[in-house]
Order: sequence, then structure tokens, then C-alpha cells
Amino acid sequence: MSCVVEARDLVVRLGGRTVLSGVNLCIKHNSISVIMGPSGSGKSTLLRVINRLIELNPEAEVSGRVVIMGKDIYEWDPYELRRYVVLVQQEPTPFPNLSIFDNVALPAKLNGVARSREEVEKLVRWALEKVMLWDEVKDRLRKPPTVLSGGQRQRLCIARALVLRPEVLLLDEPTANIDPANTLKIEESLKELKEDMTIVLVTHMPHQAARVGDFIYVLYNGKIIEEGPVGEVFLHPRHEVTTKLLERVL
Amino acid sequence: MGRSTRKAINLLVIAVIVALGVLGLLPLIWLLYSTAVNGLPPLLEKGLSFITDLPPTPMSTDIGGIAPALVGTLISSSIATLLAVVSAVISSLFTREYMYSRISGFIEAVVRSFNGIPTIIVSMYVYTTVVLWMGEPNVVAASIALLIAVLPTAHYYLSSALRSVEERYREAALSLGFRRIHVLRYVYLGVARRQVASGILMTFIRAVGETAPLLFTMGFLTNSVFQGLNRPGNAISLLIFIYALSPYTNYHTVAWGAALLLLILVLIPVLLIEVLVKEARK
Ligand SMILES: Nc1ncnc2c1ncn2[C@@H]1O[C@H](COP(=O)(O)OP(=O)(O)OP(=O)(O)O)[C@@H](O)[C@H]1O
Ligand SMILES: [Mg+2]
Repeated sequence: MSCVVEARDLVVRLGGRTVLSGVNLCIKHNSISVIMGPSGSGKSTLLRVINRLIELNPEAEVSGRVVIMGKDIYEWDPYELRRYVVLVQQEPTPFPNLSIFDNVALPAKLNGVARSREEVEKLVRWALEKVMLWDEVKDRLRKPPTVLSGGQRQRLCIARALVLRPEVLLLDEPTANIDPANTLKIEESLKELKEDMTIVLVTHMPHQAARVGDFIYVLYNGKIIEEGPVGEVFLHPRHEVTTKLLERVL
Repeated sequence: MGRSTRKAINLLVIAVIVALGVLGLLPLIWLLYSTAVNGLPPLLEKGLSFITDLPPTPMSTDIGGIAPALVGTLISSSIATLLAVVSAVISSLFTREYMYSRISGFIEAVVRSFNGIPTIIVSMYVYTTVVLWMGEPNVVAASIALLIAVLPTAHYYLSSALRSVEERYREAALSLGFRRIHVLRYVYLGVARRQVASGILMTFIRAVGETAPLLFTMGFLTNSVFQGLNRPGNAISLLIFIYALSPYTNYHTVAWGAALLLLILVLIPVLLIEVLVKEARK
């Protein structure tokens, strides 16, 4: 039992289109696995299968097996599964009706991660510091998230996932709107966090994959065409698509 | 087409639209005006005691007040609104979460058919069941009849409120381990809280304005303000209807005063809704 997340012959069809066709993967404990692939290759769909968000779509047909922490995902209570396998979506979606503080505090409170006021405040601060947002928002924690920029919103969404201290953290292009300096700092945080959790990171940035990734999976047209330790794959890509992705021409 | 011709046509269209708008507003203005002109004198004459006194006897010179009607309207409308909103939250949650399923289509159809039932029939139905069973017309029976009458309104406003919440917020909440009840509380009712509040007020307005559901169910209490939920009560709309049909002029005066009060009672939530909608646009 060395895979935290294991997929076997995973096939996903959405509205009659095959989006994932026969995906196999084994994501190791306390690692950062990077998923790269051209737009539309099925990266977000893969993450949504893992936390069972895909079943909200009545047109989705899933076959194959996904096992998380030794248990088939369909044996999990979906709500409990999503509490341990937390997803940060591709577009930032802070709750507009909650303050910046409550956006981070509420998930922690609802899941019983922190109970007392001090605990919650400490946790919120910890999470906001991890995503380099604390200094920018500490004077306006009670404001709605609509006062934030796109990149700040994205960091807020990462922070509210971190407070749950998930077993598996699924990040869908988390730094797409964030400036290079903050991106580097968030990457440092991720490397620190992998001591406590397993991270799956979807990214379009080869440099990011090289900096933080332990393993890489390359998705192309719903298939994993290449996988392995990041160093090896980057030095000796076997597939033309991988080469193009690394040269950023795809 | 030249620039000036286009400008002229533009102006003409605007003028027509404004004229039509004013034409549409005229009946409303006239209605407000005549209610104010006829209703203001009794209100001014009696002041606060118009809402605290009992109604007059037919031949008395005093016009009395409409306390039982005001109390009955507030109680029965509140009960009906509360129950309608609770059921509508459940039905709209269902139709929101299973937007494309057959069951939610079925719920929508049932609610729509409720909307088609004439409210006088609702009143008769509640009479033959609740009133006959409880022995006399009463406030509970009236509240049930009102509930049936306003249920479609509550469902309509609440389901559109819930539907206005984008799917990505629901997905975000679920991705953070929110349970279904938390999604309802913090996402649907939270993100759409202004629409939900307007929906509750709209339901209340409908309940306050309804007359037919009360005809066979409420009774007509005039000799005391309130006798209990299981006893006959009164309502402003009912009082207007009955007093306006009576031959006594002091009753007509009271009816006009009651009509003005009813309008005010409805206007307050309407203004609140305006404020809510304005804030939501910000
Ligand atoms: N709800 C849906 N119904 C039908 N097809 C869908 C749906 N969602 C996604 N798809 C299709 O599935 C394929 C994979 O989509 P997905 O969002 O997983 O791609 P992605 O790799 O995350 O792309 P990107 O890098 O642009 O985010 C796309 O071709 C898309 O058109
Ligand atoms: Mg994607």
C-alpha cells in the first residue's frame, strides 16, 4: 500500500465524449506529483474524478477504479472523502458573501479542525502566511473578497484549503494568476507542506514542475503518455508532446 | 440613413416608450390617490387608536378601529409565510441540486398546478377539512388556506434565488468538505441572501393581500382583538370586503382607512425589497 491515490484503467466520458481513456497512476505519500498536458487533455477532469466532484455532472460516465488511502472512492462517503481530498479549483471562487477571514475560517470550523476563537484565528493566520497573503490582507480581514485582485483571490482559495490539513491536496493551476515572486514563495510553502500531506499539482509551467515536482505525469488526449521522476523525464523525454510541453510550444 | 434621421427616430422611440410607461403608471397613481384621499381622514381622525380599537357597531357615530383585523392579518400571514418559506426552501433545494432530473420536473409541475387552483376553492377545501373538524372558523385554518395560496409564490422566488447561485460556488464548497446542509446554509442561502430575503418579503406581501382564502376559514371577529389561534379571527382584507358591501356609511369609512393601512403594510416590504435589490446590484 504505497499509493495514496491509485487509478486503474480509469475511463471518463462526458456527454458522450471520451475525456480520459485508460488512466493508470499511483501517487506516493508525501510527494508532489505534477500533471502536465495541453489544454483540454483532461487534467481538471482527472482531479474531479479523484474527489468525486465529477458525479455532480449527470452526463458523466466513469469506469475503472480509483482507490484512495486503501479504500475504493465509492466506498467512501463522498462528503468525508472531499474533506480529506481537498481540491482547489482552476478559477478562484472565494465565497462573495463571507469576509476574507470567514472564507478561511468557515471550512476549518465546519470540519472541526479548530474550535475555539484563538485556535481559528491562529489557523487562519498560519494559512494566509503560507500563501503569502497575510501581510496584504491583515488590515482588512472583515472585508469581502471582492476587494481582492485575481491573484490574491487565488491565494485565498489555496489558504482555505490548507486550513483543513488534508491528506491529499489537489491544486489545479494554483499559480496561474500569481506574480513570479509570490509564486516562488508559494512553491516553497508547498515543499514544506508535503511533509504533512500528498500534493497533486496541475501546472502549465515546466519550471514550476522542475522546481517542486517529485513525479510527473504527462496527459495527452486523455491518456498518460509519459510518467516518471521529474528529473528523468525532463532530461530524457521520450515523447514528442513532452518535449513540446517542456519547450512551452504546446 | 443620415445621422440626423437616425437621431430623430431614436428620440421618437424614446418618447413613445416614456408615454407608454406613463400610461401604464396612471391606474396605479389613480389607485394610490383615491385610497389616500378616502383613507386618510379616518386615519387622521383616529390616529393610533385606529389600530388599537375594536370595529364600530353599525349605528355608532364613532368609527372605531381595526385592531382584530390588523392582529389577525399579521398572525395568519406570518404563520403562512413561515411555513411556505420552509417548504419552499426544501423544494427549491431539491430542484436546484437535481436541476435536470425527473423528480425536480415533477415538483415544478406540482407547484405550478397549485398556482392554478382558484383561491376560493382552497378556502372551501380548508373549510370542509380543517374548519369542520375543528368546529368553527379559526386563525389556524385561515393560515393553512393562506399557506396553500402563497406556496407557489414562495417556491418561485426561492427557487430562482437558489438557481442564481453559480455551480462553481457549490463545487468549491463541496471541495472543502461542506456537507449538504452547510452548502444550503452558507452557499445557497448565503450567496443569494438578498434574493432570498426579497422572496420572503414577496411571500408575506402576497399573504397580507389575499382575501379569498380567508372567506370560509377565518371567521369575523369584531368584539375582541384576539382569542387564540384555534378561535375565529379577522383580517384587514376580509374586513374591507365585508364592510364595503355593508349599507352603513361608517363601515365604508373604516374600510377606506383599512385599505390605506393595508397599502402601507405592503409598501414597507416593497421598499425593503428595493433596497435589497439595489444593494445586490452594487
Ligand atoms: N461538462 C463537460 N461536458 C462535456 N465535456 C466536457 C465537460 N467538461 C470538460 N469537458 C471536455 O473534457 C475535456 C477535458 O477538459 P478538462 O477541463 O479536464 O481539460 P484540462 O486539461 O483541465 O484543460 P485546461 O488546461 O484548459 O484547464 C475537454 O475537451 C473539455 O471540452
Ligand atoms: Mg483545467
